[in-house]
Amino acid sequence: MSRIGVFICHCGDNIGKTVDCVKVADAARSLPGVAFATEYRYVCSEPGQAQIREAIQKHKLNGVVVGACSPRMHEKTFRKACQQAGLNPYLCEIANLREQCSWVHTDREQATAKATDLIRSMVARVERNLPLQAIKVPITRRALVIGGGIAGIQAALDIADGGMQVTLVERSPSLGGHMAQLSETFPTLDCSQCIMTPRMVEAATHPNIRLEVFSEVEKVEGFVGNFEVTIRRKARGVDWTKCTGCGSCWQKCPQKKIKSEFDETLGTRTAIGIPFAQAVPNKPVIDRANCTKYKTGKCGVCAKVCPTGAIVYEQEDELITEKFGAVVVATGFNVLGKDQLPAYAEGDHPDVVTGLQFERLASASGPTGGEIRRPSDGKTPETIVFIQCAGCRDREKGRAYCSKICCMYTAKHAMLYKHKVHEGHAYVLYMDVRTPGKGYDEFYRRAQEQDGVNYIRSRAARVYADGGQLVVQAADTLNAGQRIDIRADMVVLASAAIPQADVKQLAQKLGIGYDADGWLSEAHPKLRPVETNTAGVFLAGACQGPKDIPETVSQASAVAAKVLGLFANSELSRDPVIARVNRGGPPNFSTCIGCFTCVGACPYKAIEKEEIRDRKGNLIKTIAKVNSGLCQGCGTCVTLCRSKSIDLDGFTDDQVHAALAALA
Amino acid sequence: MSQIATSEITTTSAEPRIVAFVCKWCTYAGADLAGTSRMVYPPNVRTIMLPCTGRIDVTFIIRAFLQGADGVVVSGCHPGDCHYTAGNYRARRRWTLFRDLLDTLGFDLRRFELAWISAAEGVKWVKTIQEFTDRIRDLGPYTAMRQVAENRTPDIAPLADVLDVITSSRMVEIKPIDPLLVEAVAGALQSGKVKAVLGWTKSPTLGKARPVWISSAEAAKELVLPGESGNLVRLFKNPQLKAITPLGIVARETELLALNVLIQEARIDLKQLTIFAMGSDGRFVGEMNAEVASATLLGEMTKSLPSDRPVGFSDSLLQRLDELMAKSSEERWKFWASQSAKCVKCYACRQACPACTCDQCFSDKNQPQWFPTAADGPGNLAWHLLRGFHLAGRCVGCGACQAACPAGIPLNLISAAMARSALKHFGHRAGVDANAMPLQSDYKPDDQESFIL
Repeated sequence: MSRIGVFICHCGDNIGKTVDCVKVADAARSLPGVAFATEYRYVCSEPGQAQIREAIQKHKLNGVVVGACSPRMHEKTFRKACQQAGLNPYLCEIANLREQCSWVHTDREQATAKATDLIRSMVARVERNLPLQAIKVPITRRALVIGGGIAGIQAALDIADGGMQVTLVERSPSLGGHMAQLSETFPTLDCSQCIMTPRMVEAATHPNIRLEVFSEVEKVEGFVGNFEVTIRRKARGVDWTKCTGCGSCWQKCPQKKIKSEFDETLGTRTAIGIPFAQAVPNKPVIDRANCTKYKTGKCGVCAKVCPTGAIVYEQEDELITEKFGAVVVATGFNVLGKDQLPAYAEGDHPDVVTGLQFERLASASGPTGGEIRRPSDGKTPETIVFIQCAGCRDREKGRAYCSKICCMYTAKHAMLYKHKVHEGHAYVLYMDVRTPGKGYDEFYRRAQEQDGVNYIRSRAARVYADGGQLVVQAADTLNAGQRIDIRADMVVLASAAIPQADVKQLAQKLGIGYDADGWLSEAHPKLRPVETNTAGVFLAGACQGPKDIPETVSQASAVAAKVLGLFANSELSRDPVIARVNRGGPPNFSTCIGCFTCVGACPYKAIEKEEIRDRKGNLIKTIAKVNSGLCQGCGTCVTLCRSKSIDLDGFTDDQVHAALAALA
Repeated sequence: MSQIATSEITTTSAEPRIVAFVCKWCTYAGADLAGTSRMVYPPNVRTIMLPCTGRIDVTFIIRAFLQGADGVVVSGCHPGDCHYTAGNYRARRRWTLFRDLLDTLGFDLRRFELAWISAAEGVKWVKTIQEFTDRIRDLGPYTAMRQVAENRTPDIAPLADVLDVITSSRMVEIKPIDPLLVEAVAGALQSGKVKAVLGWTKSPTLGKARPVWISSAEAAKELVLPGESGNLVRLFKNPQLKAITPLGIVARETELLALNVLIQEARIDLKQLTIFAMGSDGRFVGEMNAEVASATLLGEMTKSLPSDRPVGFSDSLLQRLDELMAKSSEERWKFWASQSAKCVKCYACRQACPACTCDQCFSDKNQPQWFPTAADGPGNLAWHLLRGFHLAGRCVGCGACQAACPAGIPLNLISAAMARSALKHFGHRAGVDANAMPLQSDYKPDDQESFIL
């Protein structure tokens, strides 16, 4: 006989305001199988949990239903309380009376009726819950870090310093990411490469880190502690074991006019080479799309000049498979291209540049050697207009969010320009200036007060070319929207930070979520900011949303702490929600007939074939068997099984049908 | 306890009753987000959370309607976003077939909504529930379903023209046998190549064809050839057969198709089986293994079929199906209600079917009670829905079920509708390719989904 305890939480007033909790508890008390029912202001509080523990012991409860907030919030809390009182935690279930009842309904009577239904349904379910035991699985103590920018490097270094093995995968030929492209960094104006390149070298030489550059994640299988990842090592055309990085090949390569991705198309590069001078590893790859040898079969200069014979034109992509216990996604962000901002780009005018392009112009390693010269004719611009929020904070354009880093980097850009061109005029067109952060507002004030940058609160309408110059048309929003036209030699767009174009495919491989804008989703915006909803997969840096360097680095270190925490255990305990094939006595032993429809449908290859033999070893029957280490509990097999021989612990057919029947 | 409480359904309240089945990772989280964002939607929906849309069994949906729901919503992660990689893709296939099945039976599809709602789409959850509740409110209580669920006989309006099909296909008449077949079977038995051969003989009492095991060369003379329907493969369900190998079978197209379904599902050991293949013209083609027989008999046949024509079903039956589908859904619903009211739950359809191979049918299980088992309105509706669904992508259209039905229910029409659905949406023909994945185990990321919000 069931002896179920029902606890209705008022959640302060959050539930109590819309749902008559006393009435719900009264209704629960009269349900068959319910031995005890009560309501309390905060069931999740210590006194609330104590009530549960006491009631379990006093009333000898064999099941608990808590009507409270979403199970995603406090299921663990309440199950733990049950466990402390000696009740199997899986005999406790949560009815969602807050997120899916009191917060979304206004009619008290109807909300109370719904709450009563949900409790009744959950009581019927719990009557059929079985005591389950958590499953123990071993952990592979090796982390995969995807992305070799500052986020990935920091996470990899911290995990490696913690004594664990790391494989760092980067899809371009060198570590560095966006940070390596930057000139100087706010708010200290220290040179980005000066602080970045030592970290790159550290990552490359760390005994616990293995680099896989020019590689991408092809396939991910498995689960927390036991991921099996296939990495595609793209063909480099160069045998790196022989290459010494001497540079002969790229000095002699006749294809010299290819637009450099690292210089944001403002500079050029060769078909064989390294992306930038400080690249790590300092070894070249061949860009097959632009190489004459691959296009026409002629050339072969690099092979001729290579002193070690390292050029291998026929090299092919290589697939390697490795086991990991945790995966860190640190794939970063991108910026909105000028082509997406036609009002400002004036038909791809060379003197309209993105913030990232301006970084290259201001960088000592950039195409102009750090001198600010405009791309069209190399002239030093006398006036530059910086347009903030280009493409973001604009619902019409589909990007309502703030890119967060642009206010600071625009102040920095204007400042760098003024430091280099003392007589120059810098105008910043802004909607709001947002500079929270240590030393940030001071930095912005310095741009205005010491360096004389003109800040105009306005929204730029369009940019057009006129007589060798650009005219920025805007409305001065502090002056009744009065129209202003600024003639400038150059325009810099603080264009929106956007997710990497193909991050969704990666998210799908990893089984993690992303939001409407395409940023990867954390498990909880406040309390679990670096975890994802897939156990063992973590987020670091701007793949989760726009972030500056300090924030990215702290998040990366936080991820490392999470990974090291995970690896501190030798085995993992996880929810025992797994499928099970029924077994019984002779003559059938199971109602499974071995049609194996489930085998092909299991995404985890968790269903095996089991032979049932008699004592003499004669085969009686071959049936399906679930490998509990591999099963993740999706239940697809259960639904496909026509003979209903597989069931899912925690979500059995009996439980679901009972919960449903109780709603009638 | 799991019995459907039919007594509680009689209260017809004005408030729509809606049940939602949602996955834990996306839609449930999206509904939570609607809560944390303090959006407001009608309180009619009762949500049941499951780990994945892959876990949402059609029996849940049938039960919800039978016990009085006016509408059902099913929702989970968008394609590509499944927490379990592909549960939603398989669910999508299932829903495609299930919706077509419901449609065939004249179910009001406006009451069954499917939507992809991510954890970020609190707004979409609210919009879906709001619009669905409004729609159900406009439609009113699902009285057509409740009539059946409460076992009140609906106005019987049989579609006489569709019913014709029953009388015409129930006879398993006898055709003359090709003497070459008799010779071949006798030879194989004499040489010991096979111990027994499954074929047809004339029933002394009924004068029709009935299956027979031939185990001696003399007995081969008793073989006859049946007419259109029936399927010998159902006889392979007998577990005692394992002791008698090697075996042979006199197989027409329909038997070969059924054999292939069973091969797909690892139900028979083919190495031990000799096929005495019969052409569609009634001539003996030869003695061969199943693979060769499939290639010989089925290869040409499927190539010559129009792309929208499922295998196995007769032209006249498919024409009847067209006529049925041309009627309004209300008419179809009444038609099937009147048909299923005749069912006595003898399960002859199940026994006759070559593809119903379970040792214990789920209808004979009672934990949970999957559906009411009595031969009444809800019990019969659920049985015919689920039988049709279990055969989706597996039925080879032999018509054995219909021939076996003592009540004369045109069961093959349901199977034909499913076969059409499988072909139209997934290019799948049951039994044609023994190496293909079972239809519902498989998926393609670009399977059609126009009906999903």
